[in-house]
Amino acid sequence: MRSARERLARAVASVGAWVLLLTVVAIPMFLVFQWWSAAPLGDGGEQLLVLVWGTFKATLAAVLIAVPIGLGAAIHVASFVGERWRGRLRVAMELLESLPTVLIGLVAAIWLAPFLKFHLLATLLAVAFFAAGIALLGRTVGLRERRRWVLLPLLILPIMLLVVLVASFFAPSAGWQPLNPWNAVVVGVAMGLANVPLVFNSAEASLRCIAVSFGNSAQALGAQPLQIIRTLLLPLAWPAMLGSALLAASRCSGETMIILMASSNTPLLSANPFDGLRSLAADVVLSLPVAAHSSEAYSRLLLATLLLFAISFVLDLLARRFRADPLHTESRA
Amino acid sequence: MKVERGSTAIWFASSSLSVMLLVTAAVLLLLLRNGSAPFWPADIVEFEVRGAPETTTVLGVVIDEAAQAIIVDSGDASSANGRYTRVASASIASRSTPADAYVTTAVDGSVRYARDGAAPGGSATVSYSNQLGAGEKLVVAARRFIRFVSTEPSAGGVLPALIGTVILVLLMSVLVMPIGIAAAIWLSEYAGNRGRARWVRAALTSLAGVPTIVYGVLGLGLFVHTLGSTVDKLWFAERLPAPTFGSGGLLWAALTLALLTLPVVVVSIENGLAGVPRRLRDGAMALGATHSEVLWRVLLPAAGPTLLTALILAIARAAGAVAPLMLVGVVKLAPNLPIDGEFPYLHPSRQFMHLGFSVYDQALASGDAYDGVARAWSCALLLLLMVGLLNSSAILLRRRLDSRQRSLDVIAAA
Repeated sequence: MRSARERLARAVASVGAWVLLLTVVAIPMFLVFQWWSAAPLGDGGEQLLVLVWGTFKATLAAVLIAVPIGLGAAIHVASFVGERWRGRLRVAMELLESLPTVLIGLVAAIWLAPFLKFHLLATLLAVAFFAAGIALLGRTVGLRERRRWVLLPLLILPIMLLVVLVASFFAPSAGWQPLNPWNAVVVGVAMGLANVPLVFNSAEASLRCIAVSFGNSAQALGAQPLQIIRTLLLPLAWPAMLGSALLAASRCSGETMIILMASSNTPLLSANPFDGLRSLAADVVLSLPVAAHSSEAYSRLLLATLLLFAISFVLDLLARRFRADPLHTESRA
Repeated sequence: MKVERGSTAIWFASSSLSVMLLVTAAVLLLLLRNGSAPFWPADIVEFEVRGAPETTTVLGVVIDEAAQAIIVDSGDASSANGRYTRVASASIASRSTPADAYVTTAVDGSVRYARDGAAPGGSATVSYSNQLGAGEKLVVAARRFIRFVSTEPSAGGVLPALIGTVILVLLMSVLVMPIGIAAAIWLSEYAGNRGRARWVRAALTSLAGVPTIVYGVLGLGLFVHTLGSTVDKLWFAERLPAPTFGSGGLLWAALTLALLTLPVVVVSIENGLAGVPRRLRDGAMALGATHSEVLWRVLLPAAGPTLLTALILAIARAAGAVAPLMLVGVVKLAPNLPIDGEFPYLHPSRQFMHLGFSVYDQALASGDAYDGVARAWSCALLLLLMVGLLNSSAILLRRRLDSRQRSLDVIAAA
């Protein structure tokens, strides 16, 4: 009686585990099986190439935005910010991460795209001014004490607002405008910023680990903050940082709503960042509901899904490989 | 001050944090402002426009103001050339906000702007927007918000989408929680760290990385086309060829979302179970409880709040997942609610509406672009409030949990 109950509890619990295993196996099996039995691809191959190119372009644009910002923020927080404020910043990041992507897509399509169309030059100018200003400040103003570095972002915020104000004052009302406001740049900015929390959270955990275990001793030995970052953090944490970049790439390649809303979904094979694009995921969402069962289009869409699954799966696998590394590095060191 | 070479790098690292904070604040503010703007009673403006033959007047609400032209919404059916009037800035003779202008809102949600003295009676509500103080405006805005969330689309509301979202998410929770709890218990209690446990763990992390749209395709192909048509052949053969379960619907969407949220649920419950102090379990075992008794009487009650956190996180994730739903049964306009007074009350085969999909649909595929975009922002605000509330309660719960965990540790140590 008693042992029967034990066995039952165990059996019920393992049902849950089986569901997990089955799902993972079922997704690719099912897609491959369906694709096998569907109609031959015909000339869908070329269309697929355009879609893969669109996915690649959008992912690259987003990663170029997300990785520098996310890693920069992670380095700052891991090196300078105390436990208490670190928790609060992580909550703020989680807030941004938990925003449904359809909301980001809405902001990108309805607000950001027209804004960038009319203020592209002013925005580029503002970014350039800001970068130059930061570079200049970094060269001339040196802060010696660690606790002052913490407040740097607060110092930079008003500078940033000032730059935005000045740029909007000098904004050329007309200038070169992109033909298509819903282009790869808009997608890159929106999807990149939406994925910064992902990069930040995954990189910051490993950076923190290293900063706490070695940073304090290095500081006690008289190392400057920059020395610690350059000689300790970056060499030890680069696998983790590469891992979070790959994680962002994996997430962006599978992202649907932002690209669907902000990219105008035009299947183009162009390298121009101001052209529209059509990604694998967006094509699946737009075409699958209207594709006839076992038609050429259906077969193309199944292959597109399979590709999408494979791309994000491989990127995710690689990302985990790299992110697992710093702990080993640490135990070896 | 002494210059430290290369500290530019640190300045750049720090400024990316500022960029991040600024972006978060800007996106939230933008959503809040644009989402609530349609509810706020705008000033009714009268333009005198110099035309070629004669000067005309345009009365309405300014909805878009650029350097060259102003777009005025003059309400429904008031002028021959449609609802919106484009007024070139160069031709404006005067601009005023007359105090006697009023807006009437009909039962179907359509509005008219007028200022010809006597306001019409009847079922339409009349509001003299230009005379309202800030407090009165707030009341009007609140009334419009309540109307927005409590009426059908034919009357300008989003009630079906709201109900669709809630029902879908509830059904998904009912489906995902038992499986998630079982899998988490298996992983933390029975599996150990060898053989099948490794595979299940690998499956868990892989599933978390699968794009949501892939779940949608799986839902369409496996649930709708395969399972659904089989169910139809077996039990609903008399209605064929019209599909019952063989087309996208609430049940299949909920199942798809359940698979989608399963990794989140399992991971957070497993963490919660791992957080229960070892001594509590050992103590129960030492007193002669069996493994399953320890599970039911000690571990699950101690991890209770974690189950809640897992549920909330799953709901927040599911409420934001729109792309897979577009393949498994969400529609622009559903004829019936998935829940009503008719037996069996819940209709799992029906198509449904969804807030997230409304955001997409109204923003990009609405017949009236201005009105559609405004509605999209409002739907977005509603979705934001829903997800924000869920997530912040999960965060608060986690904090409470951390402190509870500490007190449990103390009890166990004593």
